[in-house]
Amino acid sequence: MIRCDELTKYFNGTRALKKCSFEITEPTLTGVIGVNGAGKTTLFKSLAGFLKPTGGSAFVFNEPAFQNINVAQNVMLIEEGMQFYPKTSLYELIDSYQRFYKSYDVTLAQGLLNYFNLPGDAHYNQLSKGMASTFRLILALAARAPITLLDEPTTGMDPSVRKDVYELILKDYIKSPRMILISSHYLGEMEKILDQILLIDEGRVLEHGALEEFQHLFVAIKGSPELITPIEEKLHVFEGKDFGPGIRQIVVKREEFKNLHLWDEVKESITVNSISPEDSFIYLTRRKGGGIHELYDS
Amino acid sequence: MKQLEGTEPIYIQIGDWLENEILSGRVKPEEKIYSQYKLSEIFGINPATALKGLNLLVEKGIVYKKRGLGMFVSSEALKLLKKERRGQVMTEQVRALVEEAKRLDVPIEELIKMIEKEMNKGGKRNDSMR
Amino acid sequence: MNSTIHNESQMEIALKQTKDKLINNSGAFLYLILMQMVGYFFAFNAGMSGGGTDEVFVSVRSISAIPLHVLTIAWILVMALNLAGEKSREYYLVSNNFTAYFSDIALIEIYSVIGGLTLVFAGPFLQVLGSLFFDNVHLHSDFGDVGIGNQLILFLISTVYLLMFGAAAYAFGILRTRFNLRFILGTIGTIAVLIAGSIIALRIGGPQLNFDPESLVGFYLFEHRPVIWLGKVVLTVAGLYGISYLGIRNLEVNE
Repeated sequence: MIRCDELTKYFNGTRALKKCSFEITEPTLTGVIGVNGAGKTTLFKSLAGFLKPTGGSAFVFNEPAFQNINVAQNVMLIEEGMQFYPKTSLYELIDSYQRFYKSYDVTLAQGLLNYFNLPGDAHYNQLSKGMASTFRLILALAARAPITLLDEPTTGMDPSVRKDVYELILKDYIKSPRMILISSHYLGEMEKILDQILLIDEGRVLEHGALEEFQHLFVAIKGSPELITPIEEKLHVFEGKDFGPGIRQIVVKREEFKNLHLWDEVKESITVNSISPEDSFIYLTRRKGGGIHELYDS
Repeated sequence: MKQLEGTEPIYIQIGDWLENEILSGRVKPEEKIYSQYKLSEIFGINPATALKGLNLLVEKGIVYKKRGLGMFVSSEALKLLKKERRGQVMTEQVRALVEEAKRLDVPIEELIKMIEKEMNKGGKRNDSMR
Repeated sequence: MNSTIHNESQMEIALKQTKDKLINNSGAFLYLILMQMVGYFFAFNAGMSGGGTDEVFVSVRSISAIPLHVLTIAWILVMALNLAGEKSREYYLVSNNFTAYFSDIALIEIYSVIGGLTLVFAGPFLQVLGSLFFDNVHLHSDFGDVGIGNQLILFLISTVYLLMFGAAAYAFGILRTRFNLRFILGTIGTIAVLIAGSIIALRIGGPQLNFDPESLVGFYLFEHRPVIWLGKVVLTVAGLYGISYLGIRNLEVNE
């Protein structure tokens, strides 16, 4: 239902998206992860039909998304920069959206407003950054749109609210399975509720798959420097750290490590650990190799 | 909500947790095991991930699917689990123990004595677990 | 997937949008009333003359509906520009360029009709107001017989002119939204070219070739043949809306 074929988008000379290709056909809670400026918002706007591809295509429900009314009524996009009618109360905004999105659940929306202590009579412009984010999310979830695009939905939220919010998204997804894409530059607590990850870096789709696949890409190898250093020289090291004089740890690609075919004795003396998905994204998208340690240690 | 820790993939942690539930007797053979949605609720995870964890157990033969009814603990579950654990987990722990003993210069005889002492202490408990 | 996929047609959505915009722009009518009140105020200060002897003093005051018309036109210009400027915000709701265009134009038509209606009643209203304050109120000879037929024509003409102004402002607003900086530069450039061009034309062609802004107004105002007039107006409005459509057709949403 969502299919991007070498989707490319230029903006004022910069290439925000470069030949992005991926497909989503089942209900999912997919995290779209990338650093700031990677192209996540541009991707979402292209899927929602706001932007016209410069090259390639963005198909939603098997039709080009741009200016498509079928896409507009079945895709809900929220992002920090979106605007609403000025001088309109939150209740009235929900009312407006309810008229256009046929699956809208107004009772849910009102219940959520109460739960998060958002004043229904207030105007959107009067809300704090965190409250505005919460409102946008409530607005989006209650719409029960078959494709829901949440762009950095937790900006400005207190950690406790953020936790509630992820629980809420998961609960609503289970209640009403649909395609929900959540973009973030930070994985964190969100990791648990996702089933797939779309990793975007410099406008490209780096990886698309289950969370575990990302973790499996890397391993952290720890052991005495005498054992580790020779290994280091043979592989591309994403990060090297010294835990005191007798222990050194390096992060390398699992495949490359496997292909080394180390002696059994060496294998016994080193420990191999998985790394967190968050870290694997960092290694995949980091610009320079090594990390901060090199800067300080050398 | 239960917490998940560590860097192991979530579905593996779920698998481990389920195995522990079976080993501890909280879920018995031929009983229905937690569904993916129940697990999703308990741990706050995506049901697809929970399903992956359950499928790990299905692959090992510890859990099986009954059409339309859900997933159940197999009768050989305990036997399989103990065998596996003995193989993997115990080996790991033994290795760690031996490594530590070497580091602290503990002679092998003393180590065996320590193990015997510990085994005899929990003697009665051990029998009931079999 | 539990969420059903809906397939409302563009027209259905466009109509929904029209209704939605009317509801959310309800302040527009209040704004119109306020503008017209100012217009009425200025109506009574259109001109004064007077004189007399020691015993009798006569003053003649002119009440003109022109300020009212001017302010109503100003009103629709602002309304149309506002509508044109909303493009970014409204796409987050269910919309595409066609439905946005359709509902915007529907609104401008509605505003024009209402504006026209208020202007029709302006004349009689002014007469009544006048008689409240002054002893003798007479209608200018130009107005002649003010029957129902004339009222209808007045309504039609007012509505149509408001429509034209609205369409012009909308086209301007859309082009500005679409082309932004290029548009502003383009406008300044065009004006500069026109001024330069007319100066040069004057130098070369002599006094017969002068660009006269009044002739633009006269094109419509002094046209006495109703069918031709209607034709001119319809073409102008269609042309302006056509330009707006071209401008909005592939508009992207991006601040």
